[in-house]
Formats: sequence, structure tokens, C-alpha cells
Amino acid sequence: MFKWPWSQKFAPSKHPGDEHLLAFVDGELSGSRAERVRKHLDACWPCRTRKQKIDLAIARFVEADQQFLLGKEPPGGWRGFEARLRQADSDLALASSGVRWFRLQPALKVAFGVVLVVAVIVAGTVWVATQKPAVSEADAPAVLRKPKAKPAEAPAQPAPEAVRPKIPPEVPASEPTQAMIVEKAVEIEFALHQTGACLGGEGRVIIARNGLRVVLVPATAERTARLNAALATVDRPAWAAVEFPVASEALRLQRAMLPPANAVPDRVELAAPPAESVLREYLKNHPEHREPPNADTEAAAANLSNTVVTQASAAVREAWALRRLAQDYGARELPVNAAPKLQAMAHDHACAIREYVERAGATISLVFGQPRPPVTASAGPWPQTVQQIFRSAEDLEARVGLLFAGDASSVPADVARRLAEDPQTAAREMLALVAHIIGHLDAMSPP
Amino acid sequence: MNAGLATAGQADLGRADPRQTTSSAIREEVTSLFVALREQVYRQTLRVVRIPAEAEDITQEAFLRLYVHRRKGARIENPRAWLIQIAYNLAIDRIRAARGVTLMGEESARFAWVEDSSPVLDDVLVEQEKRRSVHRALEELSPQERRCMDLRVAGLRYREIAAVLGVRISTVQTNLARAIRKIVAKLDV
Repeated sequence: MFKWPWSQKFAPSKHPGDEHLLAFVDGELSGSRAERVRKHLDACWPCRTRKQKIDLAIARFVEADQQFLLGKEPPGGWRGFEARLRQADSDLALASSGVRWFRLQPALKVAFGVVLVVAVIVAGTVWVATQKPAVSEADAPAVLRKPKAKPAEAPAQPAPEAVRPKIPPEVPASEPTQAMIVEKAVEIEFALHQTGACLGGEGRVIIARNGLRVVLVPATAERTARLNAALATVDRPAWAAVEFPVASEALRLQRAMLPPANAVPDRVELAAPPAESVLREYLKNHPEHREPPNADTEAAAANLSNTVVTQASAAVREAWALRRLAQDYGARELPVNAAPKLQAMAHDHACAIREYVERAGATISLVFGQPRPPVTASAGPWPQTVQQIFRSAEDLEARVGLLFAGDASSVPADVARRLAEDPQTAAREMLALVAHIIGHLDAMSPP
Repeated sequence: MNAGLATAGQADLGRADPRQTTSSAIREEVTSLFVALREQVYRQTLRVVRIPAEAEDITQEAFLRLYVHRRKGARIENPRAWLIQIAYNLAIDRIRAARGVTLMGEESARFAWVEDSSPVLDDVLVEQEKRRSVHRALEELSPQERRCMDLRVAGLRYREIAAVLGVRISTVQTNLARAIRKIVAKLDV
């Protein structure tokens, strides 16, 4: 009788076990074994379904991993490495001078380990002690004084409430619920957001176990006044403390609040921005696009370059602020009043990013004569989408900096050379990035 | 920054003759490696110790050890693997040292250290996360299974994972497959 050719493939002994299938998925099988599994999967629905579940499990794990890593940049910004190298140099010099350093080392390690452990306990105890009351009774009056400072002098007072003290001294001892804290945090964030504090790393709301801290690092005295005015519009209970850190601490915090600078070790030096000649050629033939209209080609080209670079940088700052929101609030269940505010803030940042990259993309497309690739929306959990937007915005900024400003400090050497030698391809890649970012923005939906 | 891996790996250390290399040349070499590889090592260490400040400290320590090793004339075939191994060992040591003091016998895989300025997850929020299936599954992973998954998501091959953990490749396979099975079981498909 006629034997169906695929009956053999359904023989139970041919189904790959879990480990075998996973090894196949991970590319750990040799060529012939992998080929056998691939052929089996072509024919076997149950095994193909198992493989799909493995893929899904991996995707969920990666998601959880990325969520965990989100926003956890090294707090010290990698400072101190040079100092460690110098210390190692002097240790090595000591060793080579004949001191029995290496013999001592194990004992020293133990001693160091003990000191470290003690330091951890001490640090932990100190941290716990500072966390317990967000604001103690004695501190409340001092915190109150700051917002009261200026509203009396302001000429146009929108409402008399701005002047009233925020907290009656006899605050009940009951602790706020997490929902109350989150709601208040979002309310304060929203107030600060209106002043653009999130973009300059000037304000950060830190949620703790039993309260919250608002850390403000304003750039100027005028900004201090504006931030205080914004805070004055929000009811602040005793457990919502405001801090203006001292100068040295402020600098460290501000650096931690801003997008990191991504420098590469071996940067390429460019004689001129690779896009310069393309820009000039374009503006020579299209004088109607010169800005200002009576500018000569060189000046107009420089202006246009500046504009694109500024747009790319602004997009990164907005993406950074958006990502911080996702990091701080993305994993939380939001109280009813907080969700619309969070959505509004996220929407503001998203719109700003979209506008900046859209404009930059339009300029690049025009000048290089490259079509805009279609936008493909791809949905995903909010924190992941936002992380991708941020990384793409950074990538775009680095490329724009290279092409329009001749700044290769954030681009690896081989990539820099490739882009510099072929600006048309560079333009295509930037436009693809723009489409990518816009696609993610369109698909994004905050909680 | 993966371009750095190719250029800053074999080539730099391969052509350096330990006897001729001056300390400043080694320093430049290690500093290059530091900039190119620190994020990778940091992320992997962070998965193990969970605390950014600790992970940063351990990462720097690992590169420091690389520097000292090179200054003593050793050649390192694969700096990336070496660094990940060292950083992993340091992380485990640090956890064991802290455990004895702060956790007092608790066997949980979550380390009860306090975080610095990042928001502290309240018990309510931890419960919320737990309700998400993948997190429930991750809690069920044994430490060994979790280590294998963390190293795998960092991009290490089975052979490399086995080297870092000091086990057989088959052990790595078994642990990964078990971990995946546990996650699959909790998937709401």
C-alpha cells in the first residue's frame, strides 16, 4: 500500500526532548543535529508549539530582565577607577621593592572584608535611620518656610491659597498608605513638569516606604523661585519633604538625574562634518530654504546643522524624562487621580519627542533626497517601549552629531568611518531610526 | 558599544609582549577595555547582586584585578570572559559575606540590602509584581537555575556559562530547560 512519506516523522522517538529543543533554539546544536530538529519541527505541530512556548518564555524572561535593569545606571558614574589604578600602581611598586606584600595579602583581604561588612551594616543602619520619618516634627516648620518666601511679593497672584501654610503642626501620627504617597508624588511631579524641571534634571521625586522626598537642584535663583512657586500649588503633608541639597551633593545628584554622556575610547577625528557639502549643495540650489533668507550658503548650512543637532539633543532630553517616569511609576498600580496626570506628562514628552525627530527627519530627507521610510508601530509594555525610544534617540543624536557637527565622540570608530565615508547611507539609517522612534511613540500607551 | 569587544579584546592583548609592555601601555589597554566592556560586566553583576552601587564597585574591582594581572605579566586570551568570571566570583563572595551578617540564615534568593535613592518597592507592590506570572515563576527558580538564566540572557554560550559556574555543560542545559519549563507552566497563554 502507499506509505505516506511523513509518517516516520511522527514516530515518538523522534520528538526532541526539552533540553534538546532549547539547545536548538539557542543555536547550541551541531549542524546536522540542528538540521534534523528543524526538519522535525517543519512537520510536527505539537513540537512546534512547544518551541513557540519556549520562545515566549524567553521573551517574558528578557522582558522581566530589562524591566529590572531599567534606570539602574551605576550611581557613581564610574568615577574612581583612575584612583584605583593609581593605588594599584603604588601597591605594585611596594611589592617590587621587596616588601612581602603578597604574603600579607590574604590576611589583609580578611581584614578588609571585615571592615567592608561592618561598613555595610553601618551604612544600612544609617540609611534605615534616615528613612524612618520623612520629616520629623522639629523639621516641619523649616520646610514650611521656603514656599512662603516669595508669593507675597508676586504682583499677580492667581489665588490667595498660594500664601497659606501647607501643614498644620498637629499632623496625626498615622502613616500614609502607599497609594497616598504615589498619588502625591505624581501630583508634585506634575507641578514640576509644568516648569520643565524634568528636562534639566532640576527636580526629582523619590518615593520611600513611608513618605516621599522632593529633591530640587535648580540652576539659578530664578529657577528656585519658579520651582517653589510650582510646589506651592500642591498640598504638602508632613511626610512629603522638600530638599535643596548642598552644592557638592547637588552636583552629584544632578549628574545622576541627567542623561549620561556616552563617550567611546577611540574616537575618529573628522576634518569637516560629512553632511556639510551635501547641505551646501542643497542650499545653493534651493535658496528658498535658507534660514535666514538672505544668508549666504555657508551661514545657512551652519544654521541648518545647528538646528538638526539641537532637535536631536532635545529629543534625547525628552526621552530621558519620559523614561524616568516609566522607571519610577511604570511598575506601580496608580491611584485613580494619579493616572491622568501621569498620562498627561508622558503625552507631553512623547509629543515633544515626536515633533523633534519628525522635524529632524524632514530636514534630513529633504537635504539628502532620501524618502521617509514607512512607520511600523510595534506595541509592547510601556517601560520597554520607552527604553527603546530612549536608546534610539541617543543613537540618532550620536549620528546627527557626527554628520552635522563632525562630532564623533559618541560613535565607535569603525561606525564613524563608515558613516563619514557614505553620508547617503548614513542619512538612510538616520531616517530609519526616526521611523523606528515614531513607530514606538505611536504604539506607546502608558498605564 | 559591541564594536569595542572585537577591537578591545584579542588584538590589544595579543600583540603586547608582557616583558616589553610598559605600565602606561597596560594602563591604556585596561582603560580601553574598561570603557568598552564595563556596561556588560556591570549588567551581569547587577543581575546577581541586585544593587547598583555594589555592582558598580564589583565591576571596577574586576577591571582592577585585570590590570594587576597584566602588570604581573599574565596574558589573558579572552578578557571579556575573564572579567565576567571574576566579577561573578566577587559578586558571590560579597553576597555570602553580607548574608552572614544581615539575613541571619534566610535562604531566599532576594537579598535584603537597602537600596540608595531608587524607589523602594513596598510589600503591596511586590505582591502586585508577583501576580504577574513571570515573576511568580522566577521566584520558583532555584539559585542555580536563576544563575544560568542570568548568564544566558547576558549572551554567554553554554560552554561559557559552565566555565563561570564551574559545572558541566549538561548541568547548564538541565538547569536552563528546567527554568524554561517553570516559566512556561506559569505563562497565561
